[in-house]
Amino acid sequence: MGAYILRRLLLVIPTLLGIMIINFILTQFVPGGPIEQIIARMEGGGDVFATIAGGAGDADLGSDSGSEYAGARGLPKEFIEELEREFGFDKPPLERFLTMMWNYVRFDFGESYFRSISVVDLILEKMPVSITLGLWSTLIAYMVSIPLGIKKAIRDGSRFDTWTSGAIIVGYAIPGFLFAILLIVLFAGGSFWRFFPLRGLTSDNWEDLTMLGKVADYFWHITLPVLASTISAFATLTLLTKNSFLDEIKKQYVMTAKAKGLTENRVLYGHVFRNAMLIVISGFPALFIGVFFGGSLIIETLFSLDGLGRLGFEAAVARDCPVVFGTLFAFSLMGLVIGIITDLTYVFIDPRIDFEARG
Amino acid sequence: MKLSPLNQRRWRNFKRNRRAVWSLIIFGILFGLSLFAELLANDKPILVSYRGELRSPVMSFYSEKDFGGDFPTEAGYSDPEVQCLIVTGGLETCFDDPTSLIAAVANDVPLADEGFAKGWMIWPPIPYAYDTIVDVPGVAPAPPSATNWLGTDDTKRDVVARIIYGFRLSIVFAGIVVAGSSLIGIIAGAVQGYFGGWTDLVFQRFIEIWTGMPSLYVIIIVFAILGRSFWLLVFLTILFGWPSLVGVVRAEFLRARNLEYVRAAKALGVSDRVIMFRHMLPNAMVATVTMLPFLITGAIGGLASLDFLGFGLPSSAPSLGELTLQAKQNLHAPWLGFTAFFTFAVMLSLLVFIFEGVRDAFDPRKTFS
Repeated sequence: MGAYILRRLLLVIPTLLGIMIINFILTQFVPGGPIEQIIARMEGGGDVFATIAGGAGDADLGSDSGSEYAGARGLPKEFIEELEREFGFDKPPLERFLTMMWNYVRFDFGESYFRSISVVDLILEKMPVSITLGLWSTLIAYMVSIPLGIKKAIRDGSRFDTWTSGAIIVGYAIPGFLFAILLIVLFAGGSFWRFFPLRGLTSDNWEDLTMLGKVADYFWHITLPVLASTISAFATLTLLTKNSFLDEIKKQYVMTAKAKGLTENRVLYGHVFRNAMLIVISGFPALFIGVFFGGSLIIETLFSLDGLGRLGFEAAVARDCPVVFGTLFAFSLMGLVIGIITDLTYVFIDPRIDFEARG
Repeated sequence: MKLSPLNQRRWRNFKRNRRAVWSLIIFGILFGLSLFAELLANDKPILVSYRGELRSPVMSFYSEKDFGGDFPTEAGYSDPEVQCLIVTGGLETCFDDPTSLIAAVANDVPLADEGFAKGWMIWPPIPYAYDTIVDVPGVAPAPPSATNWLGTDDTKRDVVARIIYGFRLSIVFAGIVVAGSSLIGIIAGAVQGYFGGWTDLVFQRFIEIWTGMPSLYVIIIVFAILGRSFWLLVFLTILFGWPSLVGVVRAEFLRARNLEYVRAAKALGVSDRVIMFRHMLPNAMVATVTMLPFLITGAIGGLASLDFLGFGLPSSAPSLGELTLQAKQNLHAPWLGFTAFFTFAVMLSLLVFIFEGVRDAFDPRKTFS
């Protein structure tokens, strides 16, 4: 087992390195780096990305590559050189990459280019939104899906089973942001009802509210976004629970328990539940990370929440390299490690699974 | 073409699932109609009779000059002047008082003017294409009315027309993307699972790296360099979409590679390629088919989210994601939001139900029950 874990951990290194190298190379070849961003801002020419992000996709940025920097004509050369020094762009790419990786290995993620705040603080700043969305939608999903899955397993093949399956699969197939739009139009848009606020996590007068008021205000704000991000979460969990229950119910020990005269509920919750839930439990490590670091760009944009999804997107658009690479490194590492932990939970929960014997 | 007995049985099983059959019929009608979107919603007439000559502006180009006008540019068929030129056979007086001339022709009033030849036009049921600016007074997102059944969006384009074209675009996009990414995914998964060992290990790492790439970031960058287009987006979506099938196919092949029939085939000296794709692939198909509905809905949803974020198709394209964005930006125009939601809901539900039926038909446990 130890050898297996060690091998998996060692394999993380080339994978992570691969991800970083590819993205670093990609960024090198792209016009509109951070220096051009700053130059564009200083010359009052607005944003270089107005052309990219603003919908005028035909603008050919590549054709400007003749000059050193597309927007460099107006600013003195010394100033640009100073900027380059400040950002470290005067060094060759390989050196920059190695420095960056060396810092990351020591978990030093540096500072954002555009705000004087360290990347770690930036992530911490955005966490409340991610935790809010992740925690509540996960809780609701589990509280609905597990009982529903059990019920569907017991009444397998019935009308109830087919129609709930249909409903949750449709809920899964329709992207969450469409539900979000529907909810906003219905309950926050003003055309029909105006029950819920449109934006933010808390009201502007948050500081003046009483403790109870704060709690109420918080839930008032998060109802719609949580609802919109929960709907698609039912499908996988419900079907997983259902299938795992179906598998268990057919087994001998269930027959034995029934034969000795136990009530239906006692059989289900005393005996089957524990075994059937193992597969659900093994998803917990991944779930845990999802709750804390998950981010949904579109849901966050729709409800004007400032979370991790938005952070990644805005960093990518603004070419805020430390943020892009810092989050990329941290989240890839987390994802890979969680993958290993998930596999190990499988083995822990069901000792018959043995990854070593494979291949 | 005759189906094999197995496929006949599958087809019978599929037909037994009423929901899937009805979904297939409804979807077939909707998609069939949307294939002829140009004839359903267009700002040009389907057929024009000009001086006894039949012309089809939907199919080919006619300038205003061709109808006796002045400009060599494409005729603006919704202008009263051009309409008058067509129905009167190109009378000069059309430029003075088109509406009364049209009315006169419609009421069969005989016109004494020289060169008069009665003409007519057949319009599509919705006289707007997806990019036609509707020429009706009023504020920009106009509510549903008799002329615009679902209203207009914030640049005064007819929503019904945009949906018809957008529906077709979404389905075609999803179809190409799923076909492409399944092809690559199946081949990659088959190779990985069949050969195992080092091939598998290296390939798995490669896929981990590949899926670790922030695809939105890459799409933004590539669009910045190459500009946006439909085919570039198809290419990029396939590029990031194919690993989703690899896992399933790989697992099936890993399991099957040690089974008797594969060993027997190997012992007989059958080549690797034939074993993989002729003998093992049919067995892995069930797992693949199970994934299909999610691939298709995923492709449609992915396109919608990219369009919503402004990094999807060129902004002129009739995209449903853009309609969703407009719904968000114009909350005082709820018809946009409802239309966007229900279009997606109907389209995706139908697809999911159809493929549920297909999956059950392919499921060996149910095929032989």
